[in-house]
Amino acid sequence: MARKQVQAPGDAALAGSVASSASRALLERLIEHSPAVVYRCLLTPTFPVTFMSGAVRRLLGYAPEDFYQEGFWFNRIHPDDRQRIEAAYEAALATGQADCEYRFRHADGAWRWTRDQASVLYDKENRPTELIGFWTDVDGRRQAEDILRELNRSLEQRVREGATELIAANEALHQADGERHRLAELASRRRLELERALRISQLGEMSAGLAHELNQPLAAIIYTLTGAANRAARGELDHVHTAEALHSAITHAHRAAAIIARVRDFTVRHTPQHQPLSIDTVIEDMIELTRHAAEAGGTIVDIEIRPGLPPVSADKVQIEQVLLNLLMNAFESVNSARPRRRAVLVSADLIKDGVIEVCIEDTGGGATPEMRSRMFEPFYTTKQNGMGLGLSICQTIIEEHGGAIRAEPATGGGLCVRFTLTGGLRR
Amino acid sequence: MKPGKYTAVAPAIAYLIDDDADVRHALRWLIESVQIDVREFGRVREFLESPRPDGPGCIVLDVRMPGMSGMEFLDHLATFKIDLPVIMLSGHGTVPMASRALRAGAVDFVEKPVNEQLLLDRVHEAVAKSRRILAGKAREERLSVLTDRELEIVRLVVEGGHNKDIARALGVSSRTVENHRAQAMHKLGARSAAELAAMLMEK
Repeated sequence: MARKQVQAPGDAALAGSVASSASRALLERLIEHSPAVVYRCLLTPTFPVTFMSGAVRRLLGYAPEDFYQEGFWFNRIHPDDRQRIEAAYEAALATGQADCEYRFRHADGAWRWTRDQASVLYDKENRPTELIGFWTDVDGRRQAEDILRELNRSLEQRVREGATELIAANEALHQADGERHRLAELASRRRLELERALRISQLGEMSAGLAHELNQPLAAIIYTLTGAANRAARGELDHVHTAEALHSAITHAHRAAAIIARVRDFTVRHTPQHQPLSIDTVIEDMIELTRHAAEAGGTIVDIEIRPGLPPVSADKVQIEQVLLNLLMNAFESVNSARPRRRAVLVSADLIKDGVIEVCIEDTGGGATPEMRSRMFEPFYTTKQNGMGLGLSICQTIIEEHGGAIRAEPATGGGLCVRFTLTGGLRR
Repeated sequence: MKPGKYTAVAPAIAYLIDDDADVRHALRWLIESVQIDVREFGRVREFLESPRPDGPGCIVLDVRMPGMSGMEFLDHLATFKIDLPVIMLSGHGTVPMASRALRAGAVDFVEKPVNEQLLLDRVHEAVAKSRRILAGKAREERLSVLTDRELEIVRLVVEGGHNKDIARALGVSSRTVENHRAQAMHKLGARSAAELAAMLMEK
């Protein structure tokens, strides 16, 4: 009854009290179990804490009571963050709100990132009196953020470094490219010089033969003019014969001049220039140029060129050099082997569309498989005084022309060297 | 006197063998200018296989001919019983071959570049030699109708021996010597000792 009495007049208050007590307990339980720490402090210079929820034990390992000591909180803020926090709370007085993150020393001594969100409470005169806040653990997030930031930073760094490296590499590449070009140019110039030196040395080897070649037309001129003079002395030279004799002499003189021009063309410095070339003319010219070498050894040169071959795209002097090399090798081989039949066969045929194959076959001593596999290497030679460059230069020239060169045993026991040239324009 | 197979007095022919047609034609023109007939051949084989009159002449050969060396050519001349004198035109550096050729009986070796006058002189010499060779052959041919005894006696007669001395030297009668001599003169168609002597000495 009393209770009822007590309850009756104060039913509402009691109910309110009971309700208040129940809701207070609920509130306390909620606050206690919330992952967030709830606190309350006064807005006086030292910010004395008037309430600290128990969650602070889980958050930072301290008892709530610890915070009631003056300066306990502030002194555990990371020194680097303190200034920023003071400023944030100063600002909160004006705005009514504060939201900041700072490092707080855990009871275990480690720094924890926390987020502190606070609202300012005002009295009736609208003066700020208290601060109520929620304090949460953001350490995991901050760590993740730190890691992310670090990753980001290092990634950026790496990208920057990578870019720098890339730029440097690019520059180096450009430089290397320039250097490579320069070296390639130098190499190609050196090679041209070497080719020329080899041509001159070949001509040296052939000098006796060239003298013979030159003597032929000169002899013909002398014979012609002497024959005319002898007849004239007897009054037997009519104007028809005079004209014929003089005409012959002129023709022979031109032949002599052509030989000299050919030698000069062959030895002057030149830049390779691809042009349509009739391979049969080049073959015939080179056989003519080496005729003495063949004759000296009593070697017969047979020519088998398919009629109507299309022109090839090639540098004349270089292809002449290849042919000269191969012909001289063939004659030398026949000469040193002294076979019963001394012959060199030069043939040219169309092996497929636009591809011409030239073959120089001799009846000389031939080559072992080892020699054949190595004969195109620079400085490989089986000759007493050979430099071992002739065939290697032949190969370079032919490959630069987009063709191929190879050696195989000839049917007659000697050697057969084949190379291809194409009609298509290159370079 | 019957005309024999060998006629030393026929016009001489120079056989040119050179594969360089320009040089060959010019050489022909040169040699013809001293009134010697010329026949040209581009290859040795062509020359060997072509029919030839038996008259005097010579062969002018460029030894740097493909297909057959100069020495092989000389061997062929012997095989084919061709006794025309040979003038070999050779380039420099063929001295060993030259000495071999000379031992083998080739008449001459002219080094190129050829002095045209020297060459013509050599051609004339070679033709003269050819005529001598032919005359010798003609004489041998004529004398071949004689028996050994007739030839022996004729030689002694031409040397100026009297029948009696010859008969004594040979241990036969003067009549026998006289008979052989008459027989030989008849066979050779000689009408006098002087003619007989001329026939034996003729070159």
